[in-house]
Amino acid sequence: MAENKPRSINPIKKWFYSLIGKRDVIETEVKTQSEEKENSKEINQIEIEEDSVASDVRRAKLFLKSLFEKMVVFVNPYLRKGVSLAGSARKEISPLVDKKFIRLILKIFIVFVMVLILLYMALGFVRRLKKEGVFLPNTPTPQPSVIPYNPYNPSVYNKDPQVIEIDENLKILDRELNNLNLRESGLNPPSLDWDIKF
Amino acid sequence: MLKKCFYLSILVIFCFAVFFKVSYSQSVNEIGLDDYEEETFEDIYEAYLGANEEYKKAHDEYILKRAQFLRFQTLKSRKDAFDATLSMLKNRDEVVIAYLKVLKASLLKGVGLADERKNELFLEIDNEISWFSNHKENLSSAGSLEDLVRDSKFAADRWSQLNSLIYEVMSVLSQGKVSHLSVRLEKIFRASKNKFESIRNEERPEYAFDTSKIELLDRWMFEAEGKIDRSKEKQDEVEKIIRGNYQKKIVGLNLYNSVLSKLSESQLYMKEASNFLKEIIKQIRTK
Repeated sequence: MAENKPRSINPIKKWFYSLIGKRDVIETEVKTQSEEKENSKEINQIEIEEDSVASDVRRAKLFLKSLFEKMVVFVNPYLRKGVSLAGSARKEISPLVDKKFIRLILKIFIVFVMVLILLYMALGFVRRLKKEGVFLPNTPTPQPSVIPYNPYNPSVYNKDPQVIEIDENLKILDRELNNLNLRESGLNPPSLDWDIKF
Repeated sequence: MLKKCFYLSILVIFCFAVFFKVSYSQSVNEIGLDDYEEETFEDIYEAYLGANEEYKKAHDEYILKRAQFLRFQTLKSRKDAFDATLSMLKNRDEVVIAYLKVLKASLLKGVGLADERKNELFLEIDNEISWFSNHKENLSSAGSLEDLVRDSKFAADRWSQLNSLIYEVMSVLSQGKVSHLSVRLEKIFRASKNKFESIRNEERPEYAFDTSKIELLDRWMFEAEGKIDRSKEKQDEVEKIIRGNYQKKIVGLNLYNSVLSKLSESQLYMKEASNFLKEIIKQIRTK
């Protein structure tokens, strides 16, 4: 089928031939092309006659084409009228509509759409990372360990007088160590005026 | 005869008692402690605060009269300025004397101080007290404002030299507190160690601890000893700072702060040692 397509004359070639004054060459090429077209039509007719389904399709196409043309002819005046009406309506309405507001809404809408797209992409990315195992597994939250109950089990030295004395002394010393204030803040030198001048 | 011997012995005892009392009070008076035995630290500190209040009033008056004199330059304003300055200078000396007495009382009440050290500082403080007392008395002999200004300058110079003594006393007091606790901690450590050794050598099965517990206690004892040694090292450093710098009369607020810093470190080591000892005792008292 591709071979049957009419070949168009190369415009550069045509220009070149006309420039050098060889118009007859172009005419002969055009003639040969039109002859080729006629030949191909004949061949097609022969083929169509031979194939009934193809002829039906062709008829349907022709019918639809003629229908479409009739519709266009019928609808066109109304369409033109409608377009002109829409144009006049737009002219009348446009000063009433706040263009800035529309632009703002448009901008917001565009931004919103962009954000949605980015969000969608980010979600997809996260899902992919999760699937590929890039994220660390969720670390378990630390739970306070239960202190095992150890019942008081005194040794034989629990009531030893030496041990008790050491324990008492140690408690007193520990208290004093914790409450020890090294700085003698009450003994800071008094603030006196030594610069006497007249 | 027996009666005579009895009366004679009573007389000898009485004479001996009187002589002892006199000699003791003389030795105490040499370092001026008699007042401090009667007066409590709180009384002396109260007197110091009172002197400070009086000084502040006198100083305000001095500021006012001085300004009036500098403005009007009249004879009356000069006389008023002279009186106000004299009063202020006397009160200032009084504050210094009261403050030095407070330092002395603090030393007397302070713990962990060697007697020799205390006596050295008492003597130095007494010297300063007598100097400022004389200065105060001599102020009355001043005849003009210029005399008062000159006398004030003498006192100011003396005060600037006194700074090192003040901070030395304060440092020694802080050092004494730490030293006192350190001695007690060492005593407790020795007692704990002796007890631990006796437990370690115990052969009766119901009194002996198992090996792991003995090893644990041994390690904690070693740690406690290490902390006590560290604490003593810090105290030695403090001693070096005090001896090295205050005796050279280097003015000492910064040095006092460095002394406190070292003493705090020493205190921290003692706390750690105390914690180890508490754990040791807890382990000894439980199975």
